[in-house]
Amino acid sequence: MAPRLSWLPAIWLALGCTDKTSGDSGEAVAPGIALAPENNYTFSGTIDVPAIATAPEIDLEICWEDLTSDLQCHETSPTTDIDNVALIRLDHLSQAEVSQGLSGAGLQQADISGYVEYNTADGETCASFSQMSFFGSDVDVPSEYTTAGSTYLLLLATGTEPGVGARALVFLEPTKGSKVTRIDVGDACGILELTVDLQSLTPLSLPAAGPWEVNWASLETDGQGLAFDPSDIDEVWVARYAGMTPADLEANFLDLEQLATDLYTLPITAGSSADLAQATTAAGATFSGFDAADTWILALRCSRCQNPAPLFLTILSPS
Amino acid sequence: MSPLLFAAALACKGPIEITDVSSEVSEVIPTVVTVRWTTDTPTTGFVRFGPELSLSTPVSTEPTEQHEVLLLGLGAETATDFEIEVGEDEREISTASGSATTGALPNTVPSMETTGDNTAGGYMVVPVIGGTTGVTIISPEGEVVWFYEDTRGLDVYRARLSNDGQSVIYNAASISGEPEENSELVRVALDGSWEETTPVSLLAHDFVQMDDGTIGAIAVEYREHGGEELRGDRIVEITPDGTQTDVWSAWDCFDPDEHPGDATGWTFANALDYLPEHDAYMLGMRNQSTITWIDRASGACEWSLGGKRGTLSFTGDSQVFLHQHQFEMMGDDLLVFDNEGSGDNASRVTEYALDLGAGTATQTWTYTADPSIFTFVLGDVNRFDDGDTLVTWSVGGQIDQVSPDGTVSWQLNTELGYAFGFDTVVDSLYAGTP
Repeated sequence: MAPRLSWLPAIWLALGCTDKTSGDSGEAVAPGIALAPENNYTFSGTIDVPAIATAPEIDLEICWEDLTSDLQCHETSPTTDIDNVALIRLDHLSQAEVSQGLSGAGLQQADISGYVEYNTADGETCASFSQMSFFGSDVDVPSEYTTAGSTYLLLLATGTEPGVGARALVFLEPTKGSKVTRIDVGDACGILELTVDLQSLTPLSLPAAGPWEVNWASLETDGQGLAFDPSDIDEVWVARYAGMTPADLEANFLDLEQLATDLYTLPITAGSSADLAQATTAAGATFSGFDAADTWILALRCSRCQNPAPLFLTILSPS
Repeated sequence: MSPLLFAAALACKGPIEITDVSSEVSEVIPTVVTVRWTTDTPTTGFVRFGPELSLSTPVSTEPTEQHEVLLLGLGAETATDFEIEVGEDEREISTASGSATTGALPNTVPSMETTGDNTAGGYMVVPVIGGTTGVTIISPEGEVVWFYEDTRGLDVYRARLSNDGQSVIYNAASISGEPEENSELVRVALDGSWEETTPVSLLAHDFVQMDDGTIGAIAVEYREHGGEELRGDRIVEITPDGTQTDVWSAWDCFDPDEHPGDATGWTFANALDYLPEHDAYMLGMRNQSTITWIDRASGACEWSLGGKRGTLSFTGDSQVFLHQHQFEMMGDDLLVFDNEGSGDNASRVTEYALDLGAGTATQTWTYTADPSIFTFVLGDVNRFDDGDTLVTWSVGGQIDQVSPDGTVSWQLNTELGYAFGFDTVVDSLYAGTP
C-alpha cells in the first residue's frame, strides 16, 4: 500500500475495557440472578515490559528461540506457538504510560500510530523488520524505526488475529550509537503480575436445582475496579475444583483453566445474561448441577481484552 | 400539531379503528423494531417513538389497511413507548399506543466513548474494521443504533443509506495488499430481513449513489505498461438492474510515464464524490496526491489539484496535501483529509478556496488534533451547515466535531482494535443519502 509504518486495526492489549455509551431511552430489565459488586473478586495487575535498546533505522532481526514461558508463565514452544510478530508504534505515550495502559488504565485506538506484522512460517524462530507488512502492503519499517521519540512495542502471539493471543511483550528502543541489530526475546513469565483476592467476596447464592440464569447488566465495575461494559463479556465459565479451596485458586490464579476438574463454558454473542444450564464441557457434557463438596466458580470473561483475568469471578454457593 | 395534514378535523364518520397493533424486534438488527397495525379503512399514518416520543417515522404516502413501519434510531436494550397516528380525508384522526424493547447488540460491536455535545446532529453511517468488520450507524449522542456484521472476510470502507430508504449499501472489498477479485456491493435491509449482493471485481475504497439508484464505484484496473502490469483505477457504474459499465479510466486521462505513482500501485484512487448539479465526478488518487474533476459524460479530466498532475496552483504559503483520502467540495471550497502532508506523522484537515478561472487554490483553514493522530489510511471530513467540521480519524478510531476556531465540541473514541471507514452523515435514517 504505502511505505509508511501503519496502523493496528485489531489489538486488544488493554487489561481493562472501556465504557460503552449508554442509551437515552428506558433500559430493558435483565432476567435472572443479578451479579452484584460484592460477589466479585478483586484483582490488580501490573505489567513490567522489558526494554531492549537497538540501533535505529535498521532491518532489526527478532528471534524468540529462548521464549519457552509466556506472560502467564505457561509453557511455550518457540517453534509452534508463535504465529505472529507485530510491531506497534505509539507516538504520544512513554513506555511507562503504555505499561500503565496495558495494566488497565486504558489505551485508545487513537494512541496507536503504526502497526506492522509478520505471520511466521512453521518452525521459524526469527523474523526481521523487512519481512513485516501492513496486512500485505509493503512498509519500509527500518525507515520508520527512528529515534524521534516514539514508543515501539513488540508483540509475539499465538494465532494471527492482530493483538490477540499475546505470549510476550518487549519495548524496543532505537538508540543512537547502539550496535544491536538482533534481539532475542526470552521468557515472558514475570512480566505480568496479578494480585488476586478470592476470599473476601460474598459467594453467589443460587438454587442448587436451578434455574441458573444469571445477568451482569447492572455491574458497573470489574474486579480491577475499572468501568465494566456488560457487552465485553463473550464467555461464561462454570468450573469445579475438587479438593481445592478459594485460597488454592488464588495461589494458582493463572492456571484456573488447567486446574479445573470440570470446566463448563458458554459463549456469549450478545446481551448480558446467561443460562448456566447451557454451558458445556469441551467434550459436550452439559452443566447439570453442583457437587457441594467442591469449590465452584462462575467467571465472566472477555477474550478480546487479552486479559487472562476474568472481569468478574465469584465463588458459587448453591443451596 | 400533527404532521398529518388530514382534513379529519372536519370529519363526520367517526374515528378510524386501529386494531392488531404489534411490534417485533428484528433478530438480525436488534435495534430495529417493526410495528404493524390494521385500520378499518385505507389510511396513511406514522409512529412516534423514542424518548418522550421525540422520534418519528415519516408519514406514509400510500393509504392502506395493513400498516408496517420500522422504528429506527433506537439504542440497544432500550424500552420505548410508541404512538401510532392514522388518518384519511373524511374520518377523525385516530391514535393507538404500544411499547417495545430493543434487543442487545452483538458483543462484537466496539465500545465507544463520547465527550461533549454533538450540536450539529446527524447520524453517522460508518463502517468499522479491525476487530469486527461491519457497518454501524451511530446516533448524534454517540450510541450505536444499527449494526450489521460482515463475515465474508473482506473489509468495508463505505456505507450509505439507499435512496429508497429501504436498505444500507456497502462495499465489501480489500485494499490491503492486492485487491480482491471477489469484492461486491452489498445491500442489507434496514431490518436485516434480506441481503443482496452485486459482485464487482476489484472494488476499491469508495462509491457514490445517484438519484436514479445508479452506483458509481472505484475499482482497480490493471494494464500492461513498460513490460509490467501496472495498477490503475477505473470508475464503474452499476445500474439498479445490475448492468456494469466502466465510465472512466485513469489510463485514458493520465500517463504513467509522465505521472508515476509514488508507492504501491500507480494511481491508487481512494475517494469518490459525485456532483449531480455538474454531472461530474471528483476522484482522489492517493499515490498521485491529486484530486481530479471528471466530466461524467465525456470522461475528461477537467482540472486537478495537488501532486504532480495538479493543474491548479497552490498560492502563497498554502499547505499542500499528501496521500489524502476523503474530501468535500462545497461551492468553490474544497475540504481535504490530508493524511501525510504535515510530514510529521500527524494527519490534518486542510481547506482551500478554489479559483478555477485563475487556476489557483488558496488555503483557508487547517486543523490538527491535539494530541495529533496519524491516520495512515482512510480518513474523512464532513462540513455541517453551522460551519463545524466532522473529522473522522479513521484508523485512530476517533471522530471529532470541530468548530472553525479549532475547538472540539464533541469527540467519539472506539476501543483499541477498531477503526472507522468513511463517514456518511445523514440528518434522518428515513431518508436516503446520495
